[in-house]
Amino acid sequence: MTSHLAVLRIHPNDNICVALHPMEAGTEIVCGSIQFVLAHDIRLGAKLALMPMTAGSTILKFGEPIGLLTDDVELGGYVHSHNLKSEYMQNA
Amino acid sequence: MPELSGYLRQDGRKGIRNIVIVAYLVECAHHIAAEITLPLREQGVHLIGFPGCYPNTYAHRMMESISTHPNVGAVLLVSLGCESFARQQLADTIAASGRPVETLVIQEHGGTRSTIEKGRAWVEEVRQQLDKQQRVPMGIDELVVGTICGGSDATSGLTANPAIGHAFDSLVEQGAACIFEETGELIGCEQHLARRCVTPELGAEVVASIDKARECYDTLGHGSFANGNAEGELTTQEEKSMGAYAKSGFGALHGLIKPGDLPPRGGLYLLDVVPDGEVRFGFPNIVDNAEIGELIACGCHLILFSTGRGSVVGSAVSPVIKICGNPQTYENLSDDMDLNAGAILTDNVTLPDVGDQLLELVHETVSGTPTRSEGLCHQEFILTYKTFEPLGPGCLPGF
Repeated sequence: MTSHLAVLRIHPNDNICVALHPMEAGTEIVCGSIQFVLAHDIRLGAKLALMPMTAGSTILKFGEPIGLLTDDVELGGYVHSHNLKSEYMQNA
Repeated sequence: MPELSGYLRQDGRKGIRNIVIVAYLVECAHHIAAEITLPLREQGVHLIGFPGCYPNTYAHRMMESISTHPNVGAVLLVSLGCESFARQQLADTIAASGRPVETLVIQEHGGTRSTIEKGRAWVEEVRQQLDKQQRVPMGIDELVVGTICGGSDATSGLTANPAIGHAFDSLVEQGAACIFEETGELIGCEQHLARRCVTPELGAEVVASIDKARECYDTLGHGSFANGNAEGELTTQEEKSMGAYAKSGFGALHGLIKPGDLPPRGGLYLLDVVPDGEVRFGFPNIVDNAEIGELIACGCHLILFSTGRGSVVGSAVSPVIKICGNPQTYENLSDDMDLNAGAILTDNVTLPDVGDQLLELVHETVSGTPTRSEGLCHQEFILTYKTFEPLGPGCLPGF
């Protein structure tokens, strides 16, 4: 494991970044000019908010909308099924 | 890259394998067909079949398309006798394609033991004949390559799928036909895809096919989104779609086809796998191998299979190359994986590097090197009921 990157912002318009490794709570994350500390242990691929956002905000990944927040999220907060809802499918 | 070669068929297509298939025409004949195949499965004898007793136009077309696939050299049909499958029509189509074909009807051949014996004897003889066939030179522009993802996670869209996209762009540039599929996994990407279509009419057909997929999944109350995807940190259908969409590369889209349609020339094609008309017969594709079978029915010589969580399947008839996006999964399942695209996340390896490695693997596989799943005798096959209408007028511009 020689990667120097912990997270990846796939597209410049994205408001989340993606974890490239599993990481433990307390890890300091740097993503460009944005810095935060992980509140929870996370798995590879976890989405982390790059800014504080309110419920109803559109999450952008690959530069495209992937769903709407159902709860407020803080900088560095974990974005997944508990707070992100598809705009397209009833069950996704 | 070394020169490619294949087995020339009567219709001019070339196969990269010379398989004998044993096909059961109803579930009641499945055991006997499997018993015929089992001792010979490492010698290029594969099992396919259709379980239903009632007839289905789609299933018949799938069986015809796969039985006359260029990777297939000969076919043994195993029928119980009273099922509705039009076995004579299938046998006639196979014979007309220049392939050896035999039909064993269990009710007329003395039952289980006798049918297995007769079947094995026929297959062993035809296998010896096929083994004498020489390969002839084959161009990349004669190749049809399909792609699918299964057991996706958040790495699929970052590593394995874009690497496949890279390989697709290169193959299409060299004249190959490349097919991606599962319109249900393109929900949310409609407008991107429409912009890549060579004509606005094709764009409208593509958008309509994705709308059809959405309506179908809404009716059934489920997406193509499985619990395993969420454990892999994918949250929504559209997030999974954006990652899946990367498999198609960046090139223009030349056509929309349905299961059993052959790409009329090189280029990039979308395979519409969602049935037409009112929702019948349940889920459009109950599992990855249903889609792999449909890609093969469209002439795919080999399948590029992207996985994150870790699928281990292969397929009957066409080799499956497994590209693992997740470095942890690759460590766990390295015996089953052909390529570690997850190296993009852990080592100093770029996406184009992995794309080029994949192109090398495609060449080796075409030339006869077994993929991991082939070496492990993975020969999965599943075919269920569906209904399709013919292609719309805008689907294949120029034809």
